[in-house]
Amino acid sequence: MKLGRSRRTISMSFGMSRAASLLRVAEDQVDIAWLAAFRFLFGLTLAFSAARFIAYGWIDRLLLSSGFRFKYYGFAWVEPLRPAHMHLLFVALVAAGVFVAVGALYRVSSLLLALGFTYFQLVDATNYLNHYYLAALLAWLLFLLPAARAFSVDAWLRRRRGLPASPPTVSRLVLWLLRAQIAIVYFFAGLAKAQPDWLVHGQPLRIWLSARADLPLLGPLFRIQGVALAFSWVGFLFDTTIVAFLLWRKTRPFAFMAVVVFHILTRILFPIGMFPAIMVLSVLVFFEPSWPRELGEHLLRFASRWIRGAAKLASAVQLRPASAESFSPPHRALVALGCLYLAIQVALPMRAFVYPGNVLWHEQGMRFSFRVMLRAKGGVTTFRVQPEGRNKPFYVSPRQYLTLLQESEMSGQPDLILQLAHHIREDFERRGYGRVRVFADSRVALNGRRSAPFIDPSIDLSQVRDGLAPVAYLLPAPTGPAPETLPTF
Amino acid sequence: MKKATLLSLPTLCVWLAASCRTAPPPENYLPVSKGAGGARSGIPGAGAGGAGYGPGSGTGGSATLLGGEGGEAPVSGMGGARSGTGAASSGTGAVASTNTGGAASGGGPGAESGGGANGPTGGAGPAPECPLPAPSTATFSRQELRKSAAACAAWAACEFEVSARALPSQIDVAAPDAGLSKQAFYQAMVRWSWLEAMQFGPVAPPSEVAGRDTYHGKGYRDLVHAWPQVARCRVDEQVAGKRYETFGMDVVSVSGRGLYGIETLLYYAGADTACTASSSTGLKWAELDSSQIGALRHSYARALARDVHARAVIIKNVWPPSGENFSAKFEAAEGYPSEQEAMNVLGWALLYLEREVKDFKLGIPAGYTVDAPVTEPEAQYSGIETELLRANVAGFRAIFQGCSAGNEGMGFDDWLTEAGHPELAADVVNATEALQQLLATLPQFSALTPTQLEETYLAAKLVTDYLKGDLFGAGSPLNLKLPSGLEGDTD
Repeated sequence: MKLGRSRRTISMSFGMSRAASLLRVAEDQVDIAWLAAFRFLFGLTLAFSAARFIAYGWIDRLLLSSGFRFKYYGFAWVEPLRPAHMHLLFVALVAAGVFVAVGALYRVSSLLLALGFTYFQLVDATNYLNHYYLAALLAWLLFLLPAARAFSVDAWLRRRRGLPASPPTVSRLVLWLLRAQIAIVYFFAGLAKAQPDWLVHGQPLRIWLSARADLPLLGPLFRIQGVALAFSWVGFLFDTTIVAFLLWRKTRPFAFMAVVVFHILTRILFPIGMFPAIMVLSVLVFFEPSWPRELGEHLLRFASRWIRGAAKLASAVQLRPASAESFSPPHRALVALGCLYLAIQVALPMRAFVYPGNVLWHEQGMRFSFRVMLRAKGGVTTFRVQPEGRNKPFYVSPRQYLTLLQESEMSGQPDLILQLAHHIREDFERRGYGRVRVFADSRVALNGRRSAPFIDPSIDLSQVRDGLAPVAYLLPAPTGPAPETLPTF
Repeated sequence: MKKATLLSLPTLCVWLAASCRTAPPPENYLPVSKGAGGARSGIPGAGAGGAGYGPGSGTGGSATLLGGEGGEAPVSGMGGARSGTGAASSGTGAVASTNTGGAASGGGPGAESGGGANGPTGGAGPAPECPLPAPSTATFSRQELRKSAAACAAWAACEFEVSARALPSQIDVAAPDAGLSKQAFYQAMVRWSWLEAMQFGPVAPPSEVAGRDTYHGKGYRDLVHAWPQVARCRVDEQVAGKRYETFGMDVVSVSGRGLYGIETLLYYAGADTACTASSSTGLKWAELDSSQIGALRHSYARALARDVHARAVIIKNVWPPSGENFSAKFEAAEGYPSEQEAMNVLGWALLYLEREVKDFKLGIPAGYTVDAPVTEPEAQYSGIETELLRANVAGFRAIFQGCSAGNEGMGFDDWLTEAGHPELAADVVNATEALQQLLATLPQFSALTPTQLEETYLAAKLVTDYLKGDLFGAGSPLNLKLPSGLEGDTD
């Protein structure tokens, strides 16, 4: 008993000392220049991302074109705006991104950016992308952080009005919060690759790279047997180790260069949109907090050869915040909130390990987990709708309700198949067919394997409720190894 | 730190630069056995419970499927269709096709594997001026596959042009039994149905909704045969209003022209109009007597025949160097964002079997498909649905397996084999062959039993399940994407 008590005491005191050291870190202030730079680059990136939606017509196609929308569990109440309002929202998001970048009306613009990026993803679950999710997370963090204290229009306006300037510093904990967020992305993206399809069979990269054999310079590489497997290992090692190399001062510049090269390659090879851009700008948080000042100073000194006054400006930029300034440390509750946030960010990807079976097959734990580029998964689903009293069923193609993109996304995700089955039941009953039962004939191919039955065709999906428990209407994943897709050209 | 930052700057700059970049038809004419002309929109015993034809609420995006008379459906989106109309004269008034046999027997490349009717010509051999493509002896490459597919489409277009050549001289609605006209129509229609599974390049619809060829599609196909975007009222509008005479064929809706228009005018014997009585066409129609209606129909049928042949010439000229030289462009994947996208587009042509054949032509009468954007069954007046299905499947197989005699030649099966998936290739070929065998003995739709229809539907579904479940989609071993309608971000 005594031993137990003393263990508990030690453990409590250890925990308290950890908390105390965390609070000490929170009291430690660092230059805010890094956060201002992150705000600037991230705001512009999201503005560009929203502009792509407008320019490519994605607002209509992804958010407005379908009569049926897949909902996230717990967010069924989110409805799309009217078309004109949706277009207006994206114009507002472009503006908000630019406002965030320059730090103007920061609290309002960053809130709009975070809300907007979260909202449009909630409109339809088939639009889920890991980088949209990450963008929303970072946007919310930016909203909550004092990123416009300095190097911003708001700070400039305060000075002009003679209001007391906010200290150009931020708690070190904020720096580590963002570093931890980026580390979580890489770590879980790497951890998810530690499975046979990726590391032993080189799938799905074999399939994807062989389709890019026409690329100049790189293309001929992909015709060589074994290159896809080598790329798989490079990707795995990159994701799992890059954070360590970024954290170590000596390897940081090389690691950053590796990040840039890696993400340029992924941008060339795969249609992954803004993900590479977001990751490249995000890893800048691993540099020393004053890196933008040093970079600015060098650039201005270089420019001073031609531009008068640049040298003076360079000296001004170089000025570090005075260490003697007194700052109010963040409230303990905020520190606790940050820790809770990170705990959730770790727990969400880890939930996949709670569900039995192959997450690439059952998909439970796939979203919000940064399991990027892991599956070449597609299938075909036909719903059998059996009205009571009719001697044969209707075969209902999902395309009667969905866009092609929605159908493609739905076919490999059981919860989405279930949602559409419920909608079909409601639709048939509304149209006077009486009580109907809805079954799914579904086959899914994963990472080059032949398609296998996906949903149990004997289960009336209209009676199955969605939830967080393991899906009982799913058939087991194929157990064979992913076949070796040979390069063709 | 300073050095580190400076060292990183050029790579950041490189990165930023890189990131910016229904009524009963008259007697059926040809050929094989068929039942007495019962109502064609309901196969006996099939479709209980609401399946059938009507204004669709589906997502096909088709326009102009309304029964009533509305505005003209524009020929919008068919860009390029006007070009080359002058070429029409080259074949107009030419002699009748040499392939007038029509009966479902004989050669054609599909004959060896699925019965005579599976051949591209409905039983007749290929026209002498359109030799079958020789099987490729080259080792497999995606470029060779595109070359073979282009050669196949060029050959099928040539065959169609030869048969369409007979239309302008032989279309005579006023003739007592319109026998020769119907024969010419039959030949053209069957040959066209072969081409349906070859919708890539300028022949294909350009719209993203259609999911065909958004890069080179010019919509030539819809100007020849826009089914399921068809409506008899649109034909009647032209019969009564003769706008085609004043403004040319370009103002005529795709829903009321082409082979559908000819079929309606040849086979629909009723003197009524499908347009509502209060519409302008309905009012004009009420003032016409039967002889006037006959003359107007004849006049429009002749105009359509000339137009279809003109389009056939344009489609034929898509391929050779003397025309649009699309064969060379397609072989080089020119104008596509990547070689793989060109392969996607070629693959999407195969999906005609999934939507139009399985869901629409078979699924609706079988009572399996509900809510399709289809108001009329294809060939409901002529009653040659089965022949058209045979030709559709034969065209599909030519692209999937090979276009030369006995389906030799390069196809997707060779690609699958080369990529290490020969078993999938064999499954698709075997399922297609089983479907062709069923179709070879299938009577016309009017005489089909529900069981026969169901069997055929399920046989088609087996093929299309392989296509959508294995060959295409995110799980495709060939990385063939389904036509999602947009190129978007992933993951």
